[in-house]
Amino acid sequence: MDKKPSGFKARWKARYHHASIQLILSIAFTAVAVIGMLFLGMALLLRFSSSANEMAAESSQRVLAQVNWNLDSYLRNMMRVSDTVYYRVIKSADLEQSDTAQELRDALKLLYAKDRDVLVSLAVFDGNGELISATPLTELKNSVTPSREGWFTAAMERIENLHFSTPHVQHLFEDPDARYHWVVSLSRHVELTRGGVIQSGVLLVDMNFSGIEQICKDVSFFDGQGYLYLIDGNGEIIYHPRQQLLYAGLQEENNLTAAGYADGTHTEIFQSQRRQVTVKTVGYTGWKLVGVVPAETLRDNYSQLLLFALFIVSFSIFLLVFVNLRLSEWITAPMKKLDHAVRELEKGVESVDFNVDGPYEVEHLSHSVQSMISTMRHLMEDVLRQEEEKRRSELDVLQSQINPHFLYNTLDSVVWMTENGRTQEAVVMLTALARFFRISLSKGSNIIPIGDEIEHARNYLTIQKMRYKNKFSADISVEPGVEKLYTIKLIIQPILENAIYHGMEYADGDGEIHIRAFREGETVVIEVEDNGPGMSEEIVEQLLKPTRDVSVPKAKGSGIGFRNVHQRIQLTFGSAYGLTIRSEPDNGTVVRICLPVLEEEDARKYRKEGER
Amino acid sequence: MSRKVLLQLVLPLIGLSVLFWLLAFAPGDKHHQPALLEMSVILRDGDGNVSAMRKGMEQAAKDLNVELRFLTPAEDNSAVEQVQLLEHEVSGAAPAVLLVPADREALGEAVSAAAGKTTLVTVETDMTAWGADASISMDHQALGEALGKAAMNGVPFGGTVLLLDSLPGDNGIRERMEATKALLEEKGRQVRICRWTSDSTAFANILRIERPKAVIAFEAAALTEMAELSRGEEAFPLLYGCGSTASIAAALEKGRVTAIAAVNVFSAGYLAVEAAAKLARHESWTGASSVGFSVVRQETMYSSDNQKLLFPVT
Repeated sequence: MDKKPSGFKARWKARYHHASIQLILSIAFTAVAVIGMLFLGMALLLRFSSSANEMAAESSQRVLAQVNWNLDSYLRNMMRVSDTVYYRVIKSADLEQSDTAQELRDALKLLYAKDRDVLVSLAVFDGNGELISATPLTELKNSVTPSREGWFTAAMERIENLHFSTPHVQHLFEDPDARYHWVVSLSRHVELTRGGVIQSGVLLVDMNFSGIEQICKDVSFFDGQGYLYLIDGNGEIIYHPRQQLLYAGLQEENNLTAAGYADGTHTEIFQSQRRQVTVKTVGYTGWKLVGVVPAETLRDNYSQLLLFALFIVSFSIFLLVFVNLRLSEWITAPMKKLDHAVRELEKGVESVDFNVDGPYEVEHLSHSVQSMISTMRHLMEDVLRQEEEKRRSELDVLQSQINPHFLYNTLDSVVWMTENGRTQEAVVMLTALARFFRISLSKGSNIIPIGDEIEHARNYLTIQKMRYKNKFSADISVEPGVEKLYTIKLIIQPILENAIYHGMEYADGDGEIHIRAFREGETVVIEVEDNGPGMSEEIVEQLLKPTRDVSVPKAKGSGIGFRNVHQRIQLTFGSAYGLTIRSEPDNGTVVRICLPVLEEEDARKYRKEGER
Repeated sequence: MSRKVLLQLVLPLIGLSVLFWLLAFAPGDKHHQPALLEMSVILRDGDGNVSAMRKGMEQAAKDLNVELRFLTPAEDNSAVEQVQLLEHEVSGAAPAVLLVPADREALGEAVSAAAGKTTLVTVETDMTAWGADASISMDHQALGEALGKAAMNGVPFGGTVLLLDSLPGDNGIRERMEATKALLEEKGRQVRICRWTSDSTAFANILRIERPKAVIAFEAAALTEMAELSRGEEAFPLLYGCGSTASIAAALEKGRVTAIAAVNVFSAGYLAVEAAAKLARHESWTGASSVGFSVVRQETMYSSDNQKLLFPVT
């Protein structure tokens, strides 16, 4: 069972069938080109996007490396200060000696003076947290217990390391100006010598937080769209460009998560914002520099290039569409020309040009079509010729139906006359018969002059009058000039035969037959009129029909003579010509034979092949 | 060129060029910093507490492309001068004004007049009922009660607490004081309200007469001066107050101030500028309108949170 195509499929099919080859080619080429371009564009875009991200990551890493280097230098400087205090001052000092405290203070002052921009204080504590020496402020606040401070306990617990604190307010020393500094403390365990005995102690170097801030704050990522912050190993903020906002709770940072990142570039989503985060660990301290670039910034940075790529792809697509249109037009032009030629042929144009200049297949197709059309034309001519021959054969058959009865009856009459000694009459009849047949044969020609046809009728009447013992009279009148026109032969005799058999047979010497031949414009009319009993209208209608209606009462005779003549004329000259019969019962009959005006020249084309 | 080629080539090319132009120069695709907004800030005094607030304001101004113009009355806490300053700014078509009102009553009319002509945001004292567009303040009731509770620890039942009325008029500072007074009286303490004067002799007389167990100052300037007065005074009453300047922190550390209610004035300043800028630019503003505070004592002042509150980093 055939399955009906679905709606979309049917519509698609309908459109496909209505579309031109050029349109299909254009759409197909364009679709392939557009898909190709989009694929290429997407591939390039993704590749570029990936490269841009890599470049951004590399850029961030370079910036971080630079900041790291600066920070490392800064911290190493602080460590150098610490080392100097420890190895050059503390190690060589015995705190029991009376002048050592002053020497220690002087040494600390000297080192502080050298780096006062970045240092807030230098201080040495013994293992119990008692202050041994400090600069620039020397008096410890009463409220302070150094041994409880984180920097102190860290130094005492892990004596082999240097310890960096997170930023805090330095509040150890009495400051007459009530200044409070944010510092980052570097503390370390030191060995103090007191009376030759080694004791534990802590060296504290308080670095001004602004030193770290200076290193970090002017760092710019992506035209200021990105930023950098510094955290310790636990994720505590050491520096952030919006540090106070974070402290005030007005802003948040993903610092605790960032503490878990390894060095390198990562992508994170924080507060619904995708960000590229680059992490670099600061050597020794465990601090981490974190560079943050919002993904949106990255996109903006290459948006111009993206736009340019978009334009290039669009422009390429447009060019491809244009080229495809032209290309498909060029490819389909020969086919269109061929199609046009076929349409012309369909319209009936005789001389259609099938010479299509195009690719091999199309040229071959055009030649094939041309050859096929030529073959068809020949075949059609053959068919026409065969039809003509068939028609002529039919004419011949109809024509051949006339003669036998008449010949038999005439010869019978001659025999009868001869037996009765009416030799002279027999001679006349035989002479008329001979002329009759000479004209019938007409050397095999189907078309004869009307004069011969009239003569043929006259001979026939001569014979019939003798046979019917002059029961009727006949006269023939021919308009001058008509006798030289042409007609198919044997068209009057069957009409006369009907008139005599059906009209004159019972006449008693008063039968009349009038034959008139004349022109009516471009028509030649031969009228055969008799004063016989006539026919009803129904019978008249039946006479010229190709097949007789059996329901209609049959007149005497079958009317085959009328039909023969009528069909022969129409087969030869067309339906405009033929017989018309006007008859009324008891009022005689007029048979009107209409023929075209055929001059000798015109008659030639109606002759059989081989006729002259 | 045939019409067909013209249609197929030239017109799409023109269309593509227009598209390119639109895309290339589309203003929506580029990062825009908002246009510079001029904002006038009318303070009520020039004390140190304003310093942290200014830092917050300046941070917000930097973030939001705002140019701040600080205006301070010649006489501290002069509502009359504030009215003049406000009217002057409004007549000068200032796009946005921040106001730290000294007295609602005195400023009410001017604020109402300014409403609609400029974007007006008040700080510390809420004047939205007078037509101000927004207010960034703190919960004065809670703050006053917190100070009262702190003072109750050092003042026995029936003891006298002296409240310093340093800012006359209807304002947020007075709300704090009223809340403290109500709590202390409820808890059985004697409350005396004293008009603040910087005349140390006169104030010494008041102390001698009233013999309070505690003194509470409700704004930084008064607390700073009280802390200075207490320097070296053995029998000075316990001192409580509001403010988080360096000198107050030093006094707290020295024990001259027993406890303070430290307000996050940095946040107040930042939020005030943010609110005014967004409202002036007709953007939606859904920021907080209240900032927090914390009661800080000597032993807790260096806790991680409190040192961030008392000593702004930048």
